[in-house]
Amino acid sequence: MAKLRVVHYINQFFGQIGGEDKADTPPMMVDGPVGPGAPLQNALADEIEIVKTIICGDSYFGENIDTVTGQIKAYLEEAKPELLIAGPAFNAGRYGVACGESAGVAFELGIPTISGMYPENPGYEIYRKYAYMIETTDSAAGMKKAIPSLVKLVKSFVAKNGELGSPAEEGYMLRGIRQNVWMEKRASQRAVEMLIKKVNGEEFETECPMPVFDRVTPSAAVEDMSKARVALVTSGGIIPVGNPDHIESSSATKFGKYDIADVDDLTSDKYYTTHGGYDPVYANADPDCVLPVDMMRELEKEGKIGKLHDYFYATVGTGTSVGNAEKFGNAIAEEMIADGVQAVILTST
Amino acid sequence: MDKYVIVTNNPMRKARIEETQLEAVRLKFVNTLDDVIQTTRDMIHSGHRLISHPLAGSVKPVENPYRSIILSEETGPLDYESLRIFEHAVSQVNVFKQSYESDLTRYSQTLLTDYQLIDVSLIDSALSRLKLKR
Amino acid sequence: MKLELGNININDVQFGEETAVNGGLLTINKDEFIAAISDDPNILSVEVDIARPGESVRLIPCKDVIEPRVKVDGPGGIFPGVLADETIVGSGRTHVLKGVAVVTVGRVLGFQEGVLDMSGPGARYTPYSSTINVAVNPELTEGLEKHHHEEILRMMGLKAAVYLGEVGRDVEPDEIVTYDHKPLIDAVNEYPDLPRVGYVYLLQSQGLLHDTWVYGVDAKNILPTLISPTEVMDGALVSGNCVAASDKVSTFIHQNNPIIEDLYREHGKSVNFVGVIIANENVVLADKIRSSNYTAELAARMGWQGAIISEEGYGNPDTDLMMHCDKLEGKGIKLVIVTDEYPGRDGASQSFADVTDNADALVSVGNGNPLVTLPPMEKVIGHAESMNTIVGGFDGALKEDGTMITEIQGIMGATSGVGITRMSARAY
Repeated sequence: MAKLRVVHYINQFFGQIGGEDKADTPPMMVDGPVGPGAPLQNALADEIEIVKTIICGDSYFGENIDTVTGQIKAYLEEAKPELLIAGPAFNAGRYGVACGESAGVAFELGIPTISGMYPENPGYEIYRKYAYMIETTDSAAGMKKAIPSLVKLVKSFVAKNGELGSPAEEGYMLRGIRQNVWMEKRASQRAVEMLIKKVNGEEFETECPMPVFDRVTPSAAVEDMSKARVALVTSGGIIPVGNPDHIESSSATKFGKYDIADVDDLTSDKYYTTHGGYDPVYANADPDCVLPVDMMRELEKEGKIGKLHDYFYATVGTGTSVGNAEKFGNAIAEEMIADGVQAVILTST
Repeated sequence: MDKYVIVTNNPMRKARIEETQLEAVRLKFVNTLDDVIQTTRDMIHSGHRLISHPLAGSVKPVENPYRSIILSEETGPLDYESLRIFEHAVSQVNVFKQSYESDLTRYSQTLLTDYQLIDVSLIDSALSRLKLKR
Repeated sequence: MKLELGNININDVQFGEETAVNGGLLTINKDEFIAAISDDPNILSVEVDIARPGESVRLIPCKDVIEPRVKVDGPGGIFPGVLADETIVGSGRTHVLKGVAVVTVGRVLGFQEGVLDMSGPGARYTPYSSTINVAVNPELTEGLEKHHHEEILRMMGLKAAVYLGEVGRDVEPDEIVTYDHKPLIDAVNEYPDLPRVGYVYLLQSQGLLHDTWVYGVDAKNILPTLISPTEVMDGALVSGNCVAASDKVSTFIHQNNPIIEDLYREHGKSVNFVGVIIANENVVLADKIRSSNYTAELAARMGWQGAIISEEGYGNPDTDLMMHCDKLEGKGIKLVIVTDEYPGRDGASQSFADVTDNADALVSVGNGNPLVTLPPMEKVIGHAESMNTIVGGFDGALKEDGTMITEIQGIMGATSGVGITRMSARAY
């Protein structure tokens, strides 16, 4: 049986180019397996041939998604793989997004992708419909376990000619898609059986769960804005020049808190945006357009609000995991409550 | 007497309304299905209530490029139920953009007329259920 | 109400000298058959074909499917209020030509649908590939008003089923299944310890090609009401719904409602199946609110403890389902919903056009969006060129060699909301 032609996508670290310092490496394609591709190739010596490896720096990818995905499309058209393997990306958010974007490119070309990452990696939730992703631990220390999981899935993929079964059968994470299946019993009969269970208070499993919406009850309206302490928060990445807290330009893992007690206006010599997901020209020319400190000061002077809070909070929203966003929100809210903040203007981009 | 607005891109509906001159019904005629969706959304946000279901009919949206939606003429505070039903319904329109082209030129004129007719019939049956005269 | 259904098993259908049933063979005198169903002056000619399971035959575009039945004992006739008079049906004895169906084929509007393959991958999706189908394909006067056109086609199918059913009148059935529907008080006393459950049967009711008739009454105009499951078996519900092919509840399926059949299987064992409520799916939201309120009140007044609800059609009825769900669950009636899904070709979008947290027990009949490739068939009954414009199809959907690509939603009955099929969808 002919071996499956595979291309492997990895980042600058696994591509043995460098660490965070080399995250700005532009994409390249080299022959054969590199880094974790080698043990993959060895374990799958009979089934696949990793003909090429695509390597790209995580930040470079995040900040140049359009050009990089264009380049990857060209690489895939050149290499003509039957399968793309991406990662594993563990919990590295930018890497997970890069794997996901690559899977998206492959999908458009009709090429399936097998990948692996930690379930909280934003790359999983956003791109899972484009790839079969095995679950990994949250750090590269989990490579020892990730490789056998990937190998198992690839072997099954090859044996079944790409017609993989359910997530439970094959060991990949849910892809968030509805797949048609054939049942033993007709739907009406399953309905009667489900009814009997439900009416008797027994456990049953619905065949289609309703979507879960994260509903937040709004707080009561502020009674008197002219006396209120109002804070500014942004996910638009407005931070002091120099990025003292090393907030990532995408898939942020932290937020920053910055003192503006003596600041009336954000200027480009002191502030900029580190958000990798929008054209920064206007935000860099005048950061107030994303974080409106100047307007808030005016409202303060006019007595329309009581006081602009001494601190603003900032993070980058693009590719940030839901889990992290929740953590940030909770942490910021706790501090603000302690500081007597009554209202927040949250700007997003 | 209750008054209604019909948001539609269906020229046959437009012609019928103009013929029958119902006092209680005003027409808001727009060009495309996307315009119908957008206009309805805007009107709901401005306080009009949804009277007919945005996904009337089993011919799928986009496959049928014509759509008419009845709203109340009267406005009030935002009707959450109208918004909720509308947003869920509209998410389905996007599903069918995966399946069908929005380009009308793919259809012959007779086919277009047939799609117009279905949309007209669905809204006619809705209008028959509303109290249009005192 | 007690109804004996006498099933006469039909193994083959052939044209012959006499329309009769003999030892499982139904012969049809073609000319007599055509004469019996062509009394409308707008019918210019009729083609009749027989399509058997396993044959390389494609029927397109299909409108309705109807099972031949005849009332042999008891009040009324098949299709009351439509072909027979308004006498209440559902008791006595009815004979069924089991294994045969009439399929009306014909174009009413330009967008043609649905397709029915008797063999190949397409046959798996449709519930009608296992019956011997007598296809009736009329040519009508040009330029008829569309409502009129649909009505002629509909009546023709019903007449055809009645004509064929008639030959089963004096035949000894191969099996008799008895269905009993007692007045509520007697039903409760019969199985006092079993949970009292019912079926909420939503009927398509939106306009041209989207209608259902109850004893001949347009379902758009009804308030939710009780009906005996045995009345439904005698054709009290007639389908005028021709779109979309896959979720359509044909007259055949109304006659053979699987939820009713399967509730009866458990009746007296794990449940007390006490009633059926029919309600409509009107376009006006106020009608939906009134209807769901009314159904819930009725069900509660009947002492229902649980219910199954089904819908017919796409989109707009999802709101009916969810409203009924909220109101029934609000009355403490435990509900199971049977429904189809449209999460898109990639299956990644939201499945329904409306949702509620109360819908915690769903049975899915599958996703109607994925494309399937149907290989060419040796014979096409109907209008082959309509394969290109089938609902769910697109330009280029029909290849030179007769291969057809369609979304599942273009296949007759493939995602019918009453759950007669075995396709479902799961989270992958």
